[in-house]
Amino acid sequence: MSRKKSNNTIRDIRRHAFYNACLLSTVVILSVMLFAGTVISASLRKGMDNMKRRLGADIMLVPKGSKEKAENMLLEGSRSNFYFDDSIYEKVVRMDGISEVTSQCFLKSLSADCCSSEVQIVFFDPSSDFVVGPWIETEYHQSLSGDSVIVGSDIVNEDGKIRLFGQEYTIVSQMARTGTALDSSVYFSLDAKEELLTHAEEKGSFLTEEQKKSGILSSIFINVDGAHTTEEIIDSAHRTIGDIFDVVYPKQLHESLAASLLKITGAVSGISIAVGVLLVAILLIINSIIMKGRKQEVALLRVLGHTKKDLIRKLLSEMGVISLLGAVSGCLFGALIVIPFGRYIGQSLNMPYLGPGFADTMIRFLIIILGVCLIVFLSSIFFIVHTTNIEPYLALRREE
Amino acid sequence: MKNRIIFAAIFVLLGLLVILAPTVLFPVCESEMKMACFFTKKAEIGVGLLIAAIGVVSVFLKNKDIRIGLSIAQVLNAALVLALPLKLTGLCKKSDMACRVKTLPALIVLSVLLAVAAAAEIFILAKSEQE
Repeated sequence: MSRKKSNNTIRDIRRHAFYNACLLSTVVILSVMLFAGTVISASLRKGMDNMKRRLGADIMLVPKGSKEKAENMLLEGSRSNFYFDDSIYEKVVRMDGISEVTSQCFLKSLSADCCSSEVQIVFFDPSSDFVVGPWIETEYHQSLSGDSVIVGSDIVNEDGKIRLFGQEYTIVSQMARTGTALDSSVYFSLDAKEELLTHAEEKGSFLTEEQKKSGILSSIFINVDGAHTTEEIIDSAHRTIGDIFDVVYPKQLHESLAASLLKITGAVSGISIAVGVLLVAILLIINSIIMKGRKQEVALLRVLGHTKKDLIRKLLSEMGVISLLGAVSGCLFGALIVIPFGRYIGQSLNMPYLGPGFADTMIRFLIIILGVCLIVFLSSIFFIVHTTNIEPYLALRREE
Repeated sequence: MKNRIIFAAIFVLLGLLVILAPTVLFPVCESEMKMACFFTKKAEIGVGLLIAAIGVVSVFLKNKDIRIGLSIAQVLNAALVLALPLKLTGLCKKSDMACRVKTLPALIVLSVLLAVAAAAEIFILAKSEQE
């Protein structure tokens, strides 16, 4: 019986193919737009939240002239080489007003071939670290030694090993995804630096004169204690180590990026609302045209003994089929575009972008399907009730 | 007749897009070295030509069984479009390379669209044969 009813519904939809196709297309466009818009906005927000957590230091000291490179590295994860002497670190540690301090040394991928293991290598000090630690997804119990590493989320973890410059290193932990190129970095302990550089040189990788020096650092991350300001610490650093460094303010970088994010999500929301309103208006127009065209049919069915309730149910089930079909296919099409192209969207907007997880996507999917069905229901119910309420005699006479 | 032309046009268009995606629209990594994605590009050009050719041939075939067979071949071609970058020839290993960021998503979209179009044609032909 219900199979027969659903066959009838499909036959009725096909009978008014043109208008129903217009209705279906509008619903598909509305669903694609809602799904893609919300996924892009949520992914940008998630990427930004992650970045906020990643920029976990008040100030970052880098060699003079390397400020731009360091900012690009923090924001976009672009690979860089810049160094100063590591004796500076000892002087900074002894300064007053510092609650946490740690150092890192970056090694731009040493131009192995692109397809084997081009990665940014970061040497960090596990004992003082407060920058890398929060990103480690799984606890590691082994201490980092010369032959063990922590890897970014995009590094292919084959049997817990990674091969660099002919040497095999044990992966003790993997970082959570950041949404930037830092995901393809490998993190070594500072103690492993000399050995790795030796292996790199043996394998014929090009090392600059600076990189060959033993005591080098790329940046010093500082958290200031509550009793001092960052300006005081910078003044004190200038007095202690001289004018050989530039200062990067990671948290300020985040604020400037958050402002651009707000503009982007604002634009996405604005466009979505404008197009959404337009599409709802189109839905109303199509529904009014469809119902106008079906007045005679509805009147005839009433003359043949169908109750108003039956007819409302019949018309609503047609709308239900169209809206469900349109919403599901629209969401699937939207997912087919925004999920695979997520990284490309992030790169094009020059923003950190972290796509939603499976559960999040499914919830969004269901909410949008329900929302779209509700919009179609609300936009059609008035016309359906109005059409079924017209006296059959009047409806038939008007059609004459 | 109408369906035959519509589906043939869809297949030819998708075949051309499979050729254009790794070469012009979302090109693979540019390098003097021949990396894995270079070979994927070459292979996709071949598969794209095959998809378009089947599309052209299907315009002239009226026999429904043969056309169902060609549509099944298109489903398999769709699987091949995806299998080339993911398994057979592969792509560069780093996730931020152009071939992974742009070409692979484009091929995923084209592969799904081709599979859906071919499945739709099979469904329509099988249904009309029953009737």
